[in-house]
Amino acid sequence: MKLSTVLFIAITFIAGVTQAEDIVVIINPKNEAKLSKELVMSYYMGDAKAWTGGVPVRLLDLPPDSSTRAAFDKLALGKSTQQMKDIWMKNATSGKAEPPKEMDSDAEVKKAVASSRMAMGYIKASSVDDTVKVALQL
Amino acid sequence: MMLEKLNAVIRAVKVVSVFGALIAATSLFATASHAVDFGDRVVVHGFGYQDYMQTDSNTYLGADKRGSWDNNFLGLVTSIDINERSKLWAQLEGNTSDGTRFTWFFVDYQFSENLRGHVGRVKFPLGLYNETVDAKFLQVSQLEPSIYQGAADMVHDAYHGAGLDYEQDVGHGHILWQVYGGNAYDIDPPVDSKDRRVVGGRVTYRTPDSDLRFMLSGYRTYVELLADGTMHSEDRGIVSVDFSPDKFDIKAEYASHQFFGVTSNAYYLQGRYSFTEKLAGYVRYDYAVTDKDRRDDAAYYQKTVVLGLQYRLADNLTLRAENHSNHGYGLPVASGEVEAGQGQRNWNLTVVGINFSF
Repeated sequence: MKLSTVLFIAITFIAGVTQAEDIVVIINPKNEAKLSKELVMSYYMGDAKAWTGGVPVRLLDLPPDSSTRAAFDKLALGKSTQQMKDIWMKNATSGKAEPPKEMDSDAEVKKAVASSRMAMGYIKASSVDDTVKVALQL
Repeated sequence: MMLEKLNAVIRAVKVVSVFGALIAATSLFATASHAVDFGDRVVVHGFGYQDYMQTDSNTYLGADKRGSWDNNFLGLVTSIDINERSKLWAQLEGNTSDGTRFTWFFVDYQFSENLRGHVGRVKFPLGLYNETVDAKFLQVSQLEPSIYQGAADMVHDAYHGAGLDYEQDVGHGHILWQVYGGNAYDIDPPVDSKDRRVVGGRVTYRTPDSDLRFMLSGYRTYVELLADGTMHSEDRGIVSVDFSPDKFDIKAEYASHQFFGVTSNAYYLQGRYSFTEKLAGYVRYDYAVTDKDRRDDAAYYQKTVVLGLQYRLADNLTLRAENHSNHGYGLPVASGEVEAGQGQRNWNLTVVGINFSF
């Protein structure tokens, strides 16, 4: 096998490993909701808006330039971040739903989820601690 | 007489000042690429466009051979949390033709996980575009398909009344059921008739990956002819398909309108392909007939081929240029800008527009 081929395979493997950091959807530990990927998609598309019982879901997002957000948009929603921004602008300008609130970091998402039973967010799996509950692993 | 003049001046000052405030607000917010958040309870979004339009013969949408800058729009959408389950939504708009007004405003309430209600002046849930027809930033082309152009008379803006939305996750996708009732709202109501009642609904199905959507929407208005007080029903309906995988955006819709023995139809097939993140090209075939019994008369039909390019200058700023090659001049006749028998059968309309949102 040529050296260039070996290098190519190695680089591809390393790139794949670095991109594959797990992302988890988190909710408040007191929230008993069971989430599926389809349900998370419905919430983050603006279709579903409330928890069981009718209490609204407060969605949280990360900044548009966040690699975790790009990975979440692709993995959970099958869209690019730009496509998701357009979808939410459509929801907002038609009075359907307000976009998720943007937080600056995983730590801020955790803090917001830990302090509200209505909140739902996503963070890197490595950022999880016992202040939040993992509702879905992507 | 003096009092009337004074009132007219006050009205003019109000329009100018509100429009000025809108422009100032846009200038202020245009630097931000996101909504403006006034604390946790109030959020403001905005969007707008400015078009330059020119035709080579028939006058349409105020554009003629000399061109027109009169097609523009600035909208501010505000949502205010009233309580945990309820929000007030309102859109304030300004444009050259109609001045400044509330396009829609309503209060919604989340009854349960799946059921939501709203009451007020609500945009008609019709087809793919009616609720967002003003937000050109979100559309494929600069001039919307003929179904949504006022001259085709296929849709109303909004209704005054109440509606219910029911969201349903089914194993193989998502369904949204919508029903509503009230009175149709018209910014320029006809002088010889009055909408007395409207009932309608829409059902939307999307696949689990949300790439494919089907819609069926329609409504019936009961119209009173003011001359004799008689009531007549008027029906409108739209069938829609939207397929948007990755770099493609393909849409097709068919609409029908029946009133007083006159049937009009319109349909289009439209596709966009994104060459890069910034550059996209689009094409549309559009057909409208304003009176089916006279569909062979060029004054009552219009076949249009649209070719256009979009360039995304920034996340929230797009530039579009498109050409509409028309056969027939049904829409200029329906809009009252050209008289039947006086128009050119083959004509072109060029549109260049810039769109923004925040």
